[in-house]
Amino acid sequence: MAEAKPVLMQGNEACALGALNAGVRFYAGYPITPSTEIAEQMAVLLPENGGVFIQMEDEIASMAAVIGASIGGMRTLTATSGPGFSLKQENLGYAIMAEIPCVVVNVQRVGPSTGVPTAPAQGDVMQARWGTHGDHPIIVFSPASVYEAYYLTIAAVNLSQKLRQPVIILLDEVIGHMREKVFIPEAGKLLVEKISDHVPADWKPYDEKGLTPLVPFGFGHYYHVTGLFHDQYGFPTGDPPQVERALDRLHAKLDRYRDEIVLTNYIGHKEPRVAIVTYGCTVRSARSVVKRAFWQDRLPVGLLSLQTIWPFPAREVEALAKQVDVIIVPEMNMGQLVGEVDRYACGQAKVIPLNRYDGEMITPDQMFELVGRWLP
Amino acid sequence: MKKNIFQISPSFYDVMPAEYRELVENGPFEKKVGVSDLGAFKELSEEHPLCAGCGLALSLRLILASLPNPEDTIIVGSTGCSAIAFPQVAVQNIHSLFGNQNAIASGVKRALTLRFPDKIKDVVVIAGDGATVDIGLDMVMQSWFRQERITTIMLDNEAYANTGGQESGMSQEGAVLHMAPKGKTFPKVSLPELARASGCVYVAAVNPAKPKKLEKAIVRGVLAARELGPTYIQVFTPCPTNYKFKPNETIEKIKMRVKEGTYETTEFISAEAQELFARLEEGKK
Repeated sequence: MAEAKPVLMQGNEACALGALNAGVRFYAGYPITPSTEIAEQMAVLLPENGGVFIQMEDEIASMAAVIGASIGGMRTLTATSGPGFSLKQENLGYAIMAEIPCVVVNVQRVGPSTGVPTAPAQGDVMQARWGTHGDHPIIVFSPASVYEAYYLTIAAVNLSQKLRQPVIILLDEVIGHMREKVFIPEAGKLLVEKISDHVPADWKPYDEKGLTPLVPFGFGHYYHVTGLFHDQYGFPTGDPPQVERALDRLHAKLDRYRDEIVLTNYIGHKEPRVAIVTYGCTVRSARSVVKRAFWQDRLPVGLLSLQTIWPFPAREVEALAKQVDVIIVPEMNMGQLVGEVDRYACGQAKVIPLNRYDGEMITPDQMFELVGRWLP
Repeated sequence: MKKNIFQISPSFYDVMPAEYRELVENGPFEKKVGVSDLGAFKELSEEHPLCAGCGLALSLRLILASLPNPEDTIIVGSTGCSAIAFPQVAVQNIHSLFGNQNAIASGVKRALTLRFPDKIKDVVVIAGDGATVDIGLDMVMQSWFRQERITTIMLDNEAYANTGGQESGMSQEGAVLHMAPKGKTFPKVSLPELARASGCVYVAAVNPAKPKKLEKAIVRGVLAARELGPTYIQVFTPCPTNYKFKPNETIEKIKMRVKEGTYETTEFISAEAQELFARLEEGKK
C-alpha cells in the first residue's frame, strides 16, 4: 500500500478536500467569515472534478439548492458561520423531515448576532442541537484538528447518505483557519460508501420497516417530498398514530447506528481522578494539559475528547463519571455542553465548567490551574 | 405520466370513485395528450382538498395536461393552496419550504443535468402568488439572473388563500382582505415585466378561460427553458372562497377582469426563443 502523503493545509481546506474525496459534487453557498475558504476551495475543485458550484444569493437559498441537488442524486455540502447558520435552520428541519442527506459546516465565530466575525467561539452547540423547531434528531461532529476536519467530513458525508440524515460539522475559527499536517491517502484508498441508485421494486420512500436509501428523482420511482408529516409513501398525513410512528422512526435510525455515529477519544491516566471533557479547538489546550500533568508528572489526569457532540456521548461520559472525582468541561461559551455532561454524570462526579467567551482561546495554563486545584 | 404508479388494488376496485377508475383505465398516462383530449377523468384524484370552483385546481389540471414531457418532469411547489393538491398528482413532486421553490429547483435541475446528460429532464416550479412574489421573490429573481433552465409558473389567486385570505403582493390595490380591512394600499406587482427585465427568455400571462392559449404558453415555457434559459408563466386563478363569489362564476370572473383591463394577458418571446419555436415548428412539418 502506498504511503499517505503529508500535506500542509488549513481546516477549512481540509473540509473541502474531505468532501470532494467523499464524493461531494455539489456545493451551494454564500460567503461568510470565517467559513469562506471552504466555498472558495469548492469553486475551484468542483468544476475541475465534474461537479457544480453555485454561489447563491443567501444562506437560505444555499441550503435549499443543496437539498434540491440531493433529491437529484448528488452528494452535497454547504458551509457557513453563525448568522448564516441561523438562516439555514428552517431548511435543515426540512431535510431532516424529508430525510434528504446533506452536510452543513458551521465554522463558529463569536455571537450572538454579528458578534466578532473573526474570533473563535463554541457558542452554537445548542443551536446545532435545537436550532430548527420540533423534536428532531441531529448528528453533529466537532473536529479538534485539521486531520479530524478532513476525516470527519468524510464520515459526515457517508453517514448522511447512509442514514438519509443531515449532518452538521461544527468547526470553529481556530480549527478552520489553522494550518497543520494532514495525511491524505491516495485515491482509491478511502472508504466511501456507495449507496446504490437502483433498489428493489417494492421500495418505499419512507419505509416503516426502517432505513431505505434515497432514490433520486429520475430513477423510475415517483413519490412526493414534503416537510409535512407523511406516511411511508410520502403522502401527507395528520393521523396521530402515523405522526407518532414517523417521528419515532426518525429517531430510531440514529439509535440503531449509534456506535457508528458517536465518536470519542480518551487519552491520559488509566485510573484518572480528574478528567477533562471537551470538543473542538478547546481539545488542543486540554491535550497540552494531559501532556504536562500525565505524561510528564504522572498525575491521575485524563481527557475525553468528543468528536461527536450530538447525539451526546452519554454512555462514555457515564462510564467516565464512575471513575473520576471531578470532570472539568472547558468551553468557549457560557456553558452549553456542560449541562449534558452533568446530566449523565448523575452525581457520580463533580462537574465543573470552565468558560471563556471573549473571543480568545482557553489557555493550557488556565486549564492546568483548575485541574491542579482538584487533584488529590 | 407513468401508469404503473396508479394501480387499483383489485379488492378496492368497486369502491373507488368512478373518476379514479376512469383515470386509471383511460387516463393520459404514457400518451401524448393535450388539453383538448381531457375527458371526464381528472388528473387530480377526486378527493383533492381544494374548494369547489377553485381557479387553481382547474388551472393545475390544464397545466399538467399541457406538460410536454410529464414522465420526466419534476415539479417543485411551495406552501399554499397548490401544495395541498400536489400529493394527489402523478408526477414527481417536491413540496419545498415556503418561498424556497426556485432555489430547490435550481439544485434539482443542475443535479439532473449532471446525472442524466443524455436525457431530457424538465424542472417546473408551480407555486402561488405569495410564494412567488412575496416570500420567494429573491430566490425567484436570482434563479432568473443565474439563467437557470427552469420554468416558473405562478398560480395567481391574488391572496394568501390557504391561511384564510390575506393580501399578497399580487392583490389589487384597494382589495379588502384579512390584514387589509381598509383595502390594500399599493398596486399589484407586475411580475411579467420584472421577469422580462431579469432575463426570462419567454414570459406569458394566461388564464384557464382560454385553455388552448394556456396550453401553448406552458409548452413554449417548458421547451424554451429546456433549450435556452428561464421562463415565466403567470396564470390567473381566481379564488371564489376568499373573494366571495359563486364557485360556478370563476370563468366569468376571469373574462370580466380581462375585459375591464385589470388582468392583462401578455406574451413576450425573446428573439432566441422566437428562433427556437420556429425551428421546432419546422421540425414538426
